[in-house]
Amino acid sequence: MVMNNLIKPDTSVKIGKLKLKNPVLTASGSFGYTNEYDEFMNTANIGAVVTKGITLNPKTGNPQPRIKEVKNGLINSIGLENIGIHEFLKKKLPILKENGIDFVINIAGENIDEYVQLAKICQANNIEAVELNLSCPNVKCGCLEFGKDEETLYKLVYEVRANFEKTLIVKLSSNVSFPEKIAKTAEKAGADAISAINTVKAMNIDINKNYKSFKSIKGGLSGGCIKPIALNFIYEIRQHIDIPIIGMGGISDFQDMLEFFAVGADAIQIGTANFTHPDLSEKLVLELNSFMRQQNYASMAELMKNLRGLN
Amino acid sequence: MQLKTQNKTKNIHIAEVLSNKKLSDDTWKLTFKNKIIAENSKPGQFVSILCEDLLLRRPFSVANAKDDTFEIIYKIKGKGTKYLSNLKNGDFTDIIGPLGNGFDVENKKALLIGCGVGIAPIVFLSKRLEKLGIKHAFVACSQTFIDIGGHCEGQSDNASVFITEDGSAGLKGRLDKHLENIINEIKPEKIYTCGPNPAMEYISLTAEKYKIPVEVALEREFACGTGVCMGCVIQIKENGKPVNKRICKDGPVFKGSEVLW
Repeated sequence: MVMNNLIKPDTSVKIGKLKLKNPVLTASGSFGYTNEYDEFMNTANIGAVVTKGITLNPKTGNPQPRIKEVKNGLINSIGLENIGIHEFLKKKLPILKENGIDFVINIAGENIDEYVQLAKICQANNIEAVELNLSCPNVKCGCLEFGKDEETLYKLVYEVRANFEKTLIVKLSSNVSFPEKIAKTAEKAGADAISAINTVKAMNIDINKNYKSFKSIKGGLSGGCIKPIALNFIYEIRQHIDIPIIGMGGISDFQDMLEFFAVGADAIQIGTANFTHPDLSEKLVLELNSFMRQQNYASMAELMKNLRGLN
Repeated sequence: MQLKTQNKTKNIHIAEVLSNKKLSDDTWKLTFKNKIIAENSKPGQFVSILCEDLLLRRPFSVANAKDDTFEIIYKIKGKGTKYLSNLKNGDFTDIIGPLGNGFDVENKKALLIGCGVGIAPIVFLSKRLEKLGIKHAFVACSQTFIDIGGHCEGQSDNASVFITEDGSAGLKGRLDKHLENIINEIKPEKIYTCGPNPAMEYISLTAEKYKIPVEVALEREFACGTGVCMGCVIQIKENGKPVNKRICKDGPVFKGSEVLW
C-alpha cells in the first residue's frame, strides 16, 4: 500500500459564486448546448458545459464557407447560428437539469439592451452562471466591438451585473492593444471572472490553379496554433486582476492544461480539440485526478501554487 | 468527486487495417476490421478518421460492411487522404462512427448512381439491396475507370453500367449524355445518388421531370462531424421555407427535391 492512495484530491474550483467539481469546462460553440457528446463520454463528469452562444432571437448564421482548416488551426465563420434563448430554455435547459450537467450559458447581443434582456431572462430562470460573449469576430455588430472599447465594455458589464446576481463571466478577445486594461475594466464593472481567449481574427487564402483569382474565408482562428497567444494574454492580465480566469485557446492535452494553470488560469475550457477528440474533456478530468493523487496534491490551490512557483 | 461510469458503448473505436488497395490512379479502397462499426453501418452513413498530425478528422462514406470488416473508398486529394494511402496492413486507426443518417431503403425498383469517389455509399447500398432482393440498376460515373470489383456478381437481373469521360470503360462521355436514356430504359421508381454537387443537382432536376423521388448523399468539409459546430450547414426546403440543416447530423442523406442547390 502506497501513501498516495490515501489522498483523495479535491479538484473543485470556485469561479465567482459557482463551485465547479473540477476545472475542466468545454468552450462555447464546440460542444453544442447540452449532452450532445454523451455518445462519447459522460458530460456530467466535467466541470461545466459552456453552451453555444445564445442570442435573444434565433440566428441562421453566415453563408458558406464557414470553416477552413489551416496548419494546426481552424478558421470558423459560423456567425452565431443558434436557437435563441426562449427555445433554449424550453428544450435544452430541461436536458441539462435531468442529466445533472453543470453549465454556463454563453450569451451574445447586438447592443447593450439585448445583453440586459438576456441577463434578465437568465436571472428570472435561476441560471447559475452566464458567460458574456463580447468577442465573437463573426457577427457584424456587437460582440467583438464591445470587448475592445473600455468605456462601452464598462457600461455593458455594469448593466448586465445590475440585472444578474449569479456568476458573471466576461469572455475576452486577444484582439486588443492593452489586455490588462480591458480585463481590469471588466473586473471593475462587476465581473466575477474572466474567460479568455476567444478565437483570433484570421483569414485564409486559396489561390486558384490559374493564379488569376482566389477564394478566401475570414473568421476566428482556434486550435493549437493560438495557444502561445492565449498563454501570453492570460499571463499579462493575471497580474492586474484578482478575479478568477478561465483559460482557453488550443488546449489539446493534459500538459497544455497545466501550462494554462501555470500562467494563472483557475480553470480551463476545451474548444476545437472536442471536434477531434470528443471525449477529451472527461479524459482530462480523469488524468487530473490521478495526477493529483500521484503527486500528493490535496487541492487545486496546492497544485496551482506549485505550478506557479509560489512556494 | 464521484465520477459516473459510462453506461453505453463509447462511439470511438480502434480499427485495424486489413488492406489498402489501389482502384485507379488516385482512388483507393481501405478495409478495416472493427465489429461494432461493421455491424452498425448503413449505406449513406460515414466514419470520421483521425489522420495523424492533422487537427480535424476526415469523414468517409462507408463503402461496404460485412461481418466484422468495413471499407471506405477515397481519392488522394490532400494531407488526410495522403496519410490514409500510407496505411499498411496491421496498422491501427482511431475512428468515430458510424455517423449520420443512411439512405431510406424502400422496396422500389431503384437506380443507383455513384459519381467519382461518391461511388462509395452506392456500392454499399447496391449490396444491401441485393441482400434484400430489391431490383436495381447500378451506374458508376467517373473520369476514368475505377475498378470497384464485381459488386453485382451472379446477380444477372441487376444491371450495372459504367460511364467514363475518357471512355476507358463502358459508355463514353459524361452522365448528362446518358442519364435520360438510362431512366427511360430502367424505369426506376426511386433514385439514390452520391457524387459532386453539380452531378447530384442535375440528377435531381432530371428525376423531377420524370417524377421519380431522389435521395442524395451530400458532402462538405466538416469540423466536428457530430452536429455541434454548425460548420457544414446547407439550406433545405422545409414546408416551402429554407432552413439550415447540418449535413453531418441531419444528413448526409437528403431528398434531392428539398436541397437548395
